[in-house]
Amino acid sequence: MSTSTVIEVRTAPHLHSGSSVDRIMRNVIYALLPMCFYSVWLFGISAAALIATTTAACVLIEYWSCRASGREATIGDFSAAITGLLLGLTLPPGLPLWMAVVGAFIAIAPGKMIFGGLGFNVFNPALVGRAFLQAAFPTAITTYTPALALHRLAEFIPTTLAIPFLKAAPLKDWIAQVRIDGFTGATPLMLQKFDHVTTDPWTLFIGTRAGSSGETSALLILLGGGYLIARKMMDWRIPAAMLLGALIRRRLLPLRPREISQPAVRAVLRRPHARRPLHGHRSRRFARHPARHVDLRPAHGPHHRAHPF
Amino acid sequence: MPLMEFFTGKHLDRGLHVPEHKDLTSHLPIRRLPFAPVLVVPLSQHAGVPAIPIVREGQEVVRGEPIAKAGGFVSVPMHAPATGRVTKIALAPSARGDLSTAIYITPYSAASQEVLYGAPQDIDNMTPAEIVQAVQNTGVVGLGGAAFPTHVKLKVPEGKTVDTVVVNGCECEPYLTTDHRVMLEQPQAVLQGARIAMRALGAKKAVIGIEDNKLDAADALRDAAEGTTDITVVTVPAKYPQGAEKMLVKVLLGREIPSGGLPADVGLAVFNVATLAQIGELLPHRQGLIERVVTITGPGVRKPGNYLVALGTPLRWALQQADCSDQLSSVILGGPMMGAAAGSLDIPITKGVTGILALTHKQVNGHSRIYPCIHCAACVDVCPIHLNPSHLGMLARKDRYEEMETDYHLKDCFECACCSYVCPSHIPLVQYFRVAKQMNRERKARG
Repeated sequence: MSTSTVIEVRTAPHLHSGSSVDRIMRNVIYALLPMCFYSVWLFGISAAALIATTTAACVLIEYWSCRASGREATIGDFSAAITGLLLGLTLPPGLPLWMAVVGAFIAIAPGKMIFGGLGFNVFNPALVGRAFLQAAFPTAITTYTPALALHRLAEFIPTTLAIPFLKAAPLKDWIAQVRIDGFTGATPLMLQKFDHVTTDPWTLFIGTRAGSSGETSALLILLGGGYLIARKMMDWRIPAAMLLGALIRRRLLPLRPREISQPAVRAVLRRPHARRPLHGHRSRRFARHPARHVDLRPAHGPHHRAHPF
Repeated sequence: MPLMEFFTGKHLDRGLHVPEHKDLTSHLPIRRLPFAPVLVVPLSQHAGVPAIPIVREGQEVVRGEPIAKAGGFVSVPMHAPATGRVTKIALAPSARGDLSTAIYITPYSAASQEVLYGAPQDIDNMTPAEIVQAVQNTGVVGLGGAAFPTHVKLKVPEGKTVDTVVVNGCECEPYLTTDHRVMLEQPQAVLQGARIAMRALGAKKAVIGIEDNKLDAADALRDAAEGTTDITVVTVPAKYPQGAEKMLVKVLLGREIPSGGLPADVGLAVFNVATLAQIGELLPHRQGLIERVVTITGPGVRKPGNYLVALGTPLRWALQQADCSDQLSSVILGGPMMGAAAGSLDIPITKGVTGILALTHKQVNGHSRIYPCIHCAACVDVCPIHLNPSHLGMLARKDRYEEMETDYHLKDCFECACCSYVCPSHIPLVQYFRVAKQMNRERKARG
């Protein structure tokens, strides 16, 4: 030790756990990547183009808004990339790319940067973007294409490359051409609602079905969550509480639509002034309707229009 | 708490596990360092009033002889750490950063390490008041780092009673092993000190709390205490910051010291093991505190160890004895979580220095970027006193110091630095809190 040793003076603590925001964000990206790859395999290059577009757009828009407000660019914390990935994964794979860019702009500029950027946003920016797209382009965002379509890794879904602000060609003919037997463009909820077809749980779990590009595989989503829990970057109690809540609601309380018998529904619809709650109805007092499915959509007719739910 | 305790045993429910690095020195017996060429004994190395010198420049002193008297009740005398000559009484750099008056002693080249000064003292027939006075004469202060005069704590406050003496053997700071070695090598002295404290306070029992990473020390104390019923040894799972007085009391006895209160408010008095060991050693011989065990460790030294260092030894000398490397970048007095970085290597080792941690450039990470708070609540999860460091930090950024104190209990924060340690945004929360407390003190002083 020489007499001129320079020592630094800092305040305690002199140790740090080593965790950092960019490391957490990077790991969230790792947790999302399996879903991205699966989505590309399932829906083809359109999904790849969609996810790449939203991610690139979010990062560029964040860079641009930092520049515009004269601040140091914050894209190095990877949070914009996460927003882009999440936005891409929540959109239907065939969504026109120009709409995706609009969604990315809404997500980052008014959804995040206006509040002050990372840590100050009120809502999840990706969901702000998605909510905007839902309101602005209700048809496009509910147009789903079949999973495992033919030539999906060679051709774009026709709507993907739609020209901005022009009406995209309808997908019906294209879907008829490319669909493999058993795979429809309808999501499981649509199938249940309109066609009275229940998708089997294994398909829902593995994810070989239509839907938003990243939502299909429960398995991969659980894996991603498990990874974050294992890396101690997510508190397991939060998703566990949510899942437990759903489970209790589903299994322990008799509120399943199929348990509300048809006569009971009709009775309520016929006599809307009767204060009989639809939910929580003690269905045992009524004979079960043979149909396993109850259509809860409002019935059409003058009778109902006067007294909607 | 009792219900949870049934399932989980006594444990600290918040806080965190910090890499300990104690195995660098925990197996090394205490060794005495040679005297430095010049020993610098500051007059204020304890909390309270500085001591008043009773020697003149040029005077010869004998190792162990008083060289300064207590400046009041909350003050302690100083004793000559080595036989030699008082060269000057002048300003010297201190760990706080300012200059303070110190007595410079040049030890004689052949000065013995043996302490000849002192006289036997019948400690068995002393009244509590006599014990308090005798402890003050030894110059012992809290050796766990706080350096608060011990005899003040031995006096039961008006209108309160103390039923239990809590002996703090947690040593939860990483790297430090002084208390561990003291318990292992001087268990009888620890027990002797505990008995003296119990008699002074009129307490019926004593509990020694030790973290379970020092089970050998717990065994040593249990063996020494065999046959006695008034002193019990309790091991608790190791977790930082269990060694903080309020934490340990809650874990061991389930008693919560009120905000802004003292252990005496819940019938307790808390002492560090090394403090009691010194009292147990010194009091029967009417001697004074002239040396203490310091863990000199860290990647910056090649010969880490637990050294018995004469008070007043400059840091530079101590580090040289431990063969310190040229890559030294930072020297910390105490542990890495709460210890202060030394601003100069000419600072003398004082009564409150528990360890010297030498870090090299590899450990001191660069000026990592401060991100905005992402509300991950990691700090909330670890705060041992259930504050909301995240929110406090944001208030501090907005200079709302008063609100931090009135609405968010800033005063209860004892700066354990768990929040800063875990913060992924690298927000220097503890530094903010220190600044906020200082600003509040200054505002109150202005009135």
